[in-house]
Amino acid sequence: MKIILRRNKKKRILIIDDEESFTQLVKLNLEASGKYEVMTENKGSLGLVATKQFKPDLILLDLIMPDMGGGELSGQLESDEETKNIPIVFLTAIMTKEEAEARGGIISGHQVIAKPITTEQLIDFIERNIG
Amino acid sequence: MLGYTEEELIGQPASILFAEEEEVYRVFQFFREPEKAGVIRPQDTIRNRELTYRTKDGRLFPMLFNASVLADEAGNVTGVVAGARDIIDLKLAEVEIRKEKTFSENIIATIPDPLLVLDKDLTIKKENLSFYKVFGTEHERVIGARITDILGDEDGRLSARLIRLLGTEDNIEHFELHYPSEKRGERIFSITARNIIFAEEELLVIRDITERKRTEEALKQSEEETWRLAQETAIIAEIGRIISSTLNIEEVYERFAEEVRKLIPFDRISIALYYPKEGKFTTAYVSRLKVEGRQKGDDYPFAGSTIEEMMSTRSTVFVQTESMEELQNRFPGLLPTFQAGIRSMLSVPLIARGEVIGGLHFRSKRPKAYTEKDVEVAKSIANQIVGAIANALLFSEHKQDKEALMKAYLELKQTQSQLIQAEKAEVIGRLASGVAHEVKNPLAIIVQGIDYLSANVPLDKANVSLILEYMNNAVMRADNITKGLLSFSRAGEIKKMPQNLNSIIESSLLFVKNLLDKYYIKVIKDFGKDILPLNLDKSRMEQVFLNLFLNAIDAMPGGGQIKVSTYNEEIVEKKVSHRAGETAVIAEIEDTGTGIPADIIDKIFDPFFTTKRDKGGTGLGLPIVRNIVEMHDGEIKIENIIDRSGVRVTVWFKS
Repeated sequence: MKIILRRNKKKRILIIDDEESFTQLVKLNLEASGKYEVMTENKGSLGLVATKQFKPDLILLDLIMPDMGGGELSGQLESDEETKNIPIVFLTAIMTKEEAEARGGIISGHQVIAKPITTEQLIDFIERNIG
Repeated sequence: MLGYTEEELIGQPASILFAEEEEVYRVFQFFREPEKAGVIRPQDTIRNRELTYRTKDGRLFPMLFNASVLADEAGNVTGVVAGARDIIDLKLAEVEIRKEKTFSENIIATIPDPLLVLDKDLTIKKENLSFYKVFGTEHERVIGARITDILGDEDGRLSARLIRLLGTEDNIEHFELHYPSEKRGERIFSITARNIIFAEEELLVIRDITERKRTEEALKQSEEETWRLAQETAIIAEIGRIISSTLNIEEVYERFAEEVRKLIPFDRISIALYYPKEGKFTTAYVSRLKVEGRQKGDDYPFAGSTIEEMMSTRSTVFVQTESMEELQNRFPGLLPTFQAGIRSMLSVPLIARGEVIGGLHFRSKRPKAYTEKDVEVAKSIANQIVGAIANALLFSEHKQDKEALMKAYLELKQTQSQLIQAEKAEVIGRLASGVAHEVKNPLAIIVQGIDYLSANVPLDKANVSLILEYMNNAVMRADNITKGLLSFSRAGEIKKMPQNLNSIIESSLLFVKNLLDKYYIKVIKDFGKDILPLNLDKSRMEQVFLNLFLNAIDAMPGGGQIKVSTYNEEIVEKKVSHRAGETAVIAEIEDTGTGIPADIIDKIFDPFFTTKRDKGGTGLGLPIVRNIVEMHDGEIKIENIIDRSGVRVTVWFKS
């Protein structure tokens, strides 16, 4: 049973964004797909703690946050042995999809997704990155 | 006759009849001493011996004495037959003649003009003292010399004249003769030749009229000079009148040339002027003969030109040569003029307020056509016209300055409005960036919300599905605006690399290929193959052309044509992006669409101004285009095509 559970284990997604309503909706929509277990964190400064606690398979990380930006947090995550191998995807409103694509979809070595994004697009993206 | 009776004479010696014994003795001696006279010849006679007779009362008078010897058959002298003729009248006549002769000889001697008597071979038989006074020591002795040796007669005209005179009834002739005196230079003689018919001689009176001639010549010259000066003054006055009659310098030149020609002949006249702003000389006026490269408006080559010489010496340049080589050494700039057949060149500097502002050039095909006098006249003419030229230049400079000022003012106004525009754009850019971020986050929430509702609200309920779709569309539109805003605000972030404009346009056209096909729009490409390479941000520039092509396509829903041209062009009038003289690379897009309504053409670059809001237009397309072009130091202009419907977009790039 335990083995079966592990095989069917939902992928754990941690979304760190200061927009609480956004994180809640993403959590609802992703979890509705049945494939994911989502944890939300609305303070960048608590991102590292949340990550260590939740041990996600992937982190969706907002770039612009009032207390600690995604850039700084990603640095912390990368330098921590415990979290350094967890894939980070930046989720941001500061650039357009075209701009993100023009950069090859990468900022500071991490994938980047431009807001707004539909659930369908988001799932597609997650699957491609942790599939 | 002698006063004696026959009786008184008979038996008297013959000597009583004669004035002197001695003389009688001499007459009769050979009768007395025949042996002294050699062989006695009975035929011997004394003929016409002049002897002085003495009358009985002691008067003396000349008689012409004739005597014959009488001899017998043996030859012995037996007597003398003598007779005498009264020659007193003859003697008196002779005295008269002698007196005449002395008189005429005195005249000849005292006459101040040289006088010569020639025989029929034109050999000098007599001369007078004056001859030597005039001819001096050059001819020590002239008697026996031929007149032609004295006066010279290279062309034979003198001897021909004198010989002809000998053979004619016309016995007097006057003519002038130029005599090259070694000591006194050329003298002019007036010669009066008189034919002394009976003697076959000629009398020549030579008068040195050199001084008179010279005086006459000087007088004539002075008269001519006076006339010429009067003429010159009149013409110069006329030139002055012309100059003051109009401000139109072209007209001044035309009429000036016409008048000047009366004073100084020319086959070509030209005026070259220095334009300090351009720093070059330009041919401002030309009349008559054409010289390649020296026509009106042509830049005047400075090096090797007469102008160069005049600039440094400030004096007239006067070249009259048949030698191209000589000219080439001195004024290589004059070669085209020489090749056009000009042999005499007179150039006078035009000096205004102490500065050489140009040159007045007289050119003639005639060798040595100009004299020092022409130089003087040319100088005064140049002085006359220089004022007019300077005034005209000042006037046109003033006009140009005024125009330039006006242009600068307009440019300033334009720049000011552009600055305001740019400032506005910058503020909008910064705002846009913030707004985009602030809007995108709520949009992201709405999108997620729509997704949630789509999954959790029963869609079969009336209108729910439709409402969700409306919401979704609205979010997408808002997202488009934020995208545009971000793009607009980031036009400054460009990465320039050497690019080929033609290939950027080609790839932009590829993006819209489907639309072009869909709307039956034909594309004509006229790409300059030699356009200069440009430093461009490829993707930004593609964005520019994509936008422009999309606008053109939107304007031609019923089909049409887009013509795209690229070319290099030298900028003539200063632009915001380019200085005059710079070479710009130009891209031009012309469509055959409906054009832009006049009332909105000024607003097309205003952010958020759009006529296509219903079609998702954000009003940021052209502002972004302009931003990107300006970030490349370029300039864009969008205008309606004048003679047909359609829009022309011109983009100037800095090469």
